[in-house]
Amino acid sequence: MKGLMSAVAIVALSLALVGGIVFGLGDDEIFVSPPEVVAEEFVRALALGRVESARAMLARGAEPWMAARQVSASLRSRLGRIDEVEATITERTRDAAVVRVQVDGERRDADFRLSIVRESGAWSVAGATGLREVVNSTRAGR
Amino acid sequence: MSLIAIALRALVAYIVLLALVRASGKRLVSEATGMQFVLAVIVGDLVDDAMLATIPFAQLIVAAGTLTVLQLTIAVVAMLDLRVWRLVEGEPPVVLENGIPRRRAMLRERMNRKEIASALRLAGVSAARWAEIKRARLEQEGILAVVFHDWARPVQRNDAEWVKVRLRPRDR
Repeated sequence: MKGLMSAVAIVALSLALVGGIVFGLGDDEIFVSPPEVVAEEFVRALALGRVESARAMLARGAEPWMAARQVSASLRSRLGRIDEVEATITERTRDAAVVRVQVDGERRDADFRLSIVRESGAWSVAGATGLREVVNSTRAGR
Repeated sequence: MSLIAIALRALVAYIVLLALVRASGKRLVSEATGMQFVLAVIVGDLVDDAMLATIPFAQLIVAAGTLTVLQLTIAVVAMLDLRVWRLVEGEPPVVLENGIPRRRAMLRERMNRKEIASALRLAGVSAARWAEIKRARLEQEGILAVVFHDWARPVQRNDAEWVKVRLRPRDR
């Protein structure tokens, strides 16, 4: 019983500590996923058809089309199996970042930019430049 | 991603997990059962994700903490109620009785005669001594717990006393 109480106390204490560092000290890349990792995970989720996971990474004001089922399907049909996703930060302020995403696909490569914003301590995808073109070129190419 | 950030995440993950392992007791690491093994694998995977920041750190704490609390709760309930213990851990099957392997238990545990012989050798029992075994159970940790017949147990100091008493000439 003592162990049980200790485990609960450890979890509460650890969460309080991490929460204090993120919200109190403004940590934006140690205990939260940094913008480039969020961008990579977002694209991987889309490319693997995990639309719900991609949707969860969208910012509150983001356009919902970015994580739509059709976008995910088009991306998969256009690029094929994803070999590598590489994201690099091109612009960065305290609460916003622009990330260049390069995707090595089985059929072809893609290069676009994602705007990432900080909301409630975590980074989320707010917009995309060039993603629509990648998706539309799929439809035109059929 | 900066290397310092990875090192800091690793440090905090180590401290949190060490604290959780200490809270869950020594049994978690020293005598891992099937469920504890699964728990270790899941937590290991979570640590990997947290280290590379593909999940926020709070998710590691919540997931590892929830699994530890769940494991501890089940352990406490199983300690108080034998039926729960049987449900969670399973009754250790008798794979050898009176020196004879039990086929049904062997099939259930997917264990052949050679594996039983090997496990018994590890317990210090050669094939020549199988007849001395009253019962051998396969415990959760994958080891055989052997109980010998009374007549097969090694001679003790008490036995010498018993023999002395029996051989003492009766009072006239």
